[in-house]
Amino acid sequence: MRLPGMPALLLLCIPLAAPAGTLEAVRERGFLRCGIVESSPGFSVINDQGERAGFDIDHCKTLAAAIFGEFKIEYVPVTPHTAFTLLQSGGVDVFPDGATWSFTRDISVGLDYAGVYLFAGQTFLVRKDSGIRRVADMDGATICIAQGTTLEQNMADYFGARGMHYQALTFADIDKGLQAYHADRCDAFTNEGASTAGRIANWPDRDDHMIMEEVISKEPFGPMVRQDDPRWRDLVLWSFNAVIAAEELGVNQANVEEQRRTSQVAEVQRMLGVNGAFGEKLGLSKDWAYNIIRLVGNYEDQWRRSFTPLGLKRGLNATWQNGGLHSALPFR
Amino acid sequence: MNMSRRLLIYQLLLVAAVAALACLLFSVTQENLARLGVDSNFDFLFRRAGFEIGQSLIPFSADDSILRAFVVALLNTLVLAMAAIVCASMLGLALGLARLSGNWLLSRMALTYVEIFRNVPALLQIFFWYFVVLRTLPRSAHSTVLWDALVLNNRGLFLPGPADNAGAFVMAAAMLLAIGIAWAVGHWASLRRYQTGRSFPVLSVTLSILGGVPLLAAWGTGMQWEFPQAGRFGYGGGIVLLPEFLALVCGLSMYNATYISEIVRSSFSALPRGQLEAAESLGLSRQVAVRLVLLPQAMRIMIPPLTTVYLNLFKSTSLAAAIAYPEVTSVFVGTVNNLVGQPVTIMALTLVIYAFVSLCIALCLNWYQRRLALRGT
Amino acid sequence: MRANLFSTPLDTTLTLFALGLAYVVLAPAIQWLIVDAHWRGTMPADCPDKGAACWPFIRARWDQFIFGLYPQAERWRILLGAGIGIIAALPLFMPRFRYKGWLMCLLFILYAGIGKILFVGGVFGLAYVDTGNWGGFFLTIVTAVFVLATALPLAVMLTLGRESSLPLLRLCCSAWLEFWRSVPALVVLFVAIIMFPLFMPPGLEVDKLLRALLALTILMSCYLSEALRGALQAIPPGQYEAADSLGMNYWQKTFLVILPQAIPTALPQITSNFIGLFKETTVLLIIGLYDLLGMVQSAASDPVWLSPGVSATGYLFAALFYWVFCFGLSRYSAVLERRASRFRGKAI
Repeated sequence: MRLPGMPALLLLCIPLAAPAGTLEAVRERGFLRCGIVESSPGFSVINDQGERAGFDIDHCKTLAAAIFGEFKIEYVPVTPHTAFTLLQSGGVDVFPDGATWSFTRDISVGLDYAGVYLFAGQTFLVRKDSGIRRVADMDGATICIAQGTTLEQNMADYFGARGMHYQALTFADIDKGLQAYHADRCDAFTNEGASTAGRIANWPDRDDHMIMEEVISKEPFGPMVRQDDPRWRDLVLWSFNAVIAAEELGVNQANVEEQRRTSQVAEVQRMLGVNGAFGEKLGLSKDWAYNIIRLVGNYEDQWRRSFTPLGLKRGLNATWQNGGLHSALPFR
Repeated sequence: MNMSRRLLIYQLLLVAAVAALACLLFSVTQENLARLGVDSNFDFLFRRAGFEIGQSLIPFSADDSILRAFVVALLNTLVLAMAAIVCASMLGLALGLARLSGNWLLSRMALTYVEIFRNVPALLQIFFWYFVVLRTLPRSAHSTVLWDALVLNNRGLFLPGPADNAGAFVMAAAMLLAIGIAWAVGHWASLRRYQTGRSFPVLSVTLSILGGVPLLAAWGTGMQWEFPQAGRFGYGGGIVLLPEFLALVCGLSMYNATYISEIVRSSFSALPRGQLEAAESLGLSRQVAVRLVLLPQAMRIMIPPLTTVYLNLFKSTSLAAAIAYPEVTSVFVGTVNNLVGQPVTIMALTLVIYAFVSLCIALCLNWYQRRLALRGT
Repeated sequence: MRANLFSTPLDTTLTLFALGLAYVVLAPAIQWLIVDAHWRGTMPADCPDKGAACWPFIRARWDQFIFGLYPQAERWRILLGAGIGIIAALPLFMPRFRYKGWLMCLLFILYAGIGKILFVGGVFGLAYVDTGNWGGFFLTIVTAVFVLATALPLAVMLTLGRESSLPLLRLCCSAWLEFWRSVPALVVLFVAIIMFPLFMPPGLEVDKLLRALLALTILMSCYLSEALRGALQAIPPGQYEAADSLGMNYWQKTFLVILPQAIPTALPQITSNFIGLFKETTVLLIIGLYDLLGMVQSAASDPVWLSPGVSATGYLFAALFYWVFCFGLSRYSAVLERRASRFRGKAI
């Protein structure tokens, strides 16, 4: 239902500046607005120096490096309650974390995904002394879960299909859910595996708990953007692709200067802006990808910074040459 | 004349401005939603929910509609509000009377309680109950068990309850019946007192009706009781009061009781001293005087401020969203909004529901206030 | 003493009961808080007993509890701003100071600018600090003060509208007031955070904190309006009549005669509403803004510290903080009330 005809008076009140593209808006504003989840070890934390760090933060930095060549970012802390709508309504330009690329999300909510930056899966954290070894052991268990993700539905689907019952305890955020699990309020805590591992890595009684091998869902995480700006989506997609491609091509933070000067590989030259005008076509400068690798590093660099200290292996997130799922789109 | 016409024009201008603003907001919102490809209708209410809710008074599974999930959430809110209001009122009354008591120690202690708990935010108190006190409860394997019927552990308080839905229905019906009978008895007793002056032990009779009728009904219909049973994952069966629920009831009632106690104290102190003296000089004992002479008059003063406290309490049930009790805010603004992605309709629905229930509470108490009001003076 | 505590059997029972209760509550509390507690150090390792109170936790996180994530190097700005605010507002609390109304208006305008420059920065060579980094006690105070300052004028307007003789205006105002008074603050905050941007034309963006503050302002103005209304009704009709007979128009009458009497009368009510607001700010944590309680909550779920003793200590610390402020304010409100009633007593 739309208003049939707006009075002229009202038309006057609407600012005449038509919504420019997201990139132009970001440029004009002078910084990127990146939605992050506060305190999610491995993904987004505040380190001892009081700076934000983590895999999601690197993702924000990747984009800022591509656009500005430096980290001009405003981090907007979001909760699962507010994340998707904030993105829809323009409060943030991109939301890298916690968003599983699923059919309904992609189709219905007015949002789009720009690639997959982490292949994850939903799994369960249980106490070793609980006797639970497989998901099938959990008929009748109380399970803590965090709102605002596809996890709730995955679990209902999975248990429903197998005729199993459970009591859901739905928390507004992951930390409170884990805190309640730790207080033995529930038998299991379910979440995407990497994020759980990150959060419990420093638990004093870490050894009394285990994350089950079994995964009940695929959770491909991708940066979320608004649906109405395909050029912005391209930019986000290719910035991230540069990170993967750099790893495939053997370019990393340490050797990027040298590669730019000496590499004879045509794709490296194109990516780093030695040849061609790939950056300009995205509306960026020529050395956009060079800036990304120089400032943030390739996928391996980012992984080593954020996840290796937590004991996470690359697994599915290795490049395809190493048996993983990440495969860069070619710079041609 | 000129003046009043000018005022009329001002008002019409005001209404026009308000309407224009509303139209503007509406059209901008529509435009934004259309641009973002977000639907705004209520079709989603009839979609399959696809998520589970931890506590539901009516049967609910992931296959039911979102509308049903909403009813479940609303019932959870109402149960929580009701329980907290009852507990807060009783605690508040006790504290208020303790404040008024001639016993120095007792009234000082009540004052200390009030000053401590009134000045600490309700949400903090709820967190304290949930994240601190919950932790000290025993694990399921070491539950505190009383007569094999009451079980307390960190998964909640387990009570015996009807075994099936038919039994639950019988109990609910019997409870309603008991309330009806109790009300009738109270009415009859007060009539008789007016006419004959003979008193009737209303309180004890009412309590025994409220307890007795449901038990009698359960026994009469041969209802099966279900006792808490230890299962693979802790206790199950019977009625379960979740720790979230207990934490919220404790937090909200202990916080709001401080306000109620202040209301009780000030409305009793507002009564003229002569009332008590007159009652005592008529030979009424102190207890009878308080119950029959002071309380009815104090009630009249109490109801308007009590309405405010009850409304505040009802509104603060939304704090449950901070811990995992599935009430309206948590289920709708949290789960359903993320599932469906239609913020405008969902938020509007949530606001309207809260406003509607608030209105009902206010109307009920206003009605009660009018009933208590002095007639014919 | 005996007459009071042990005069009748009932009194004796009550006294013994009270003593018993006090012992049951206080003894373990003292044991836990003081005797068994860990006092020294600033590291998690300084609290080996996971159940006992852990004061090193408070010491380690003190800065965060107070300043949130405000950059360390810029914290002097908060202290400076707070200092200016306190000194400038001091005359308001002096009973003899005559120009409170003017001072308040001046502060309202000036301090908004000073606060914006100091706390947000980005001008005069001050580094820009994003409101996403605001938190802790600083955020709590900013919220409470900002909301009170903006809600008060709004409340005055709403109350005048509600009490005016224009029926349509009255209807609009009371519908507005009744609606906002009947919905939970938390839901309104969610609306502000989630939906507010949808109400705005594209390109116009409002900071998240500001949105939350505006939502609280709307709510607070409705609560305050109730307090002012009571005060307006308490003004004797003679005052209106006297003003009319002097030939004052509506605005002169309202701002020179009625409000100067109504606001002092409403002051105790306003203070208690402010206390309520102070406590209400805790819901900010649910929408992802880390006020004092939010900071404590997130610090206590830091895996390094995770233990029952730590979270209990954290919550108690926060409770103490809120308590000191709210209790202090309520004492102040009681003083005001006494002063007001003395004043009334003289006038009559």
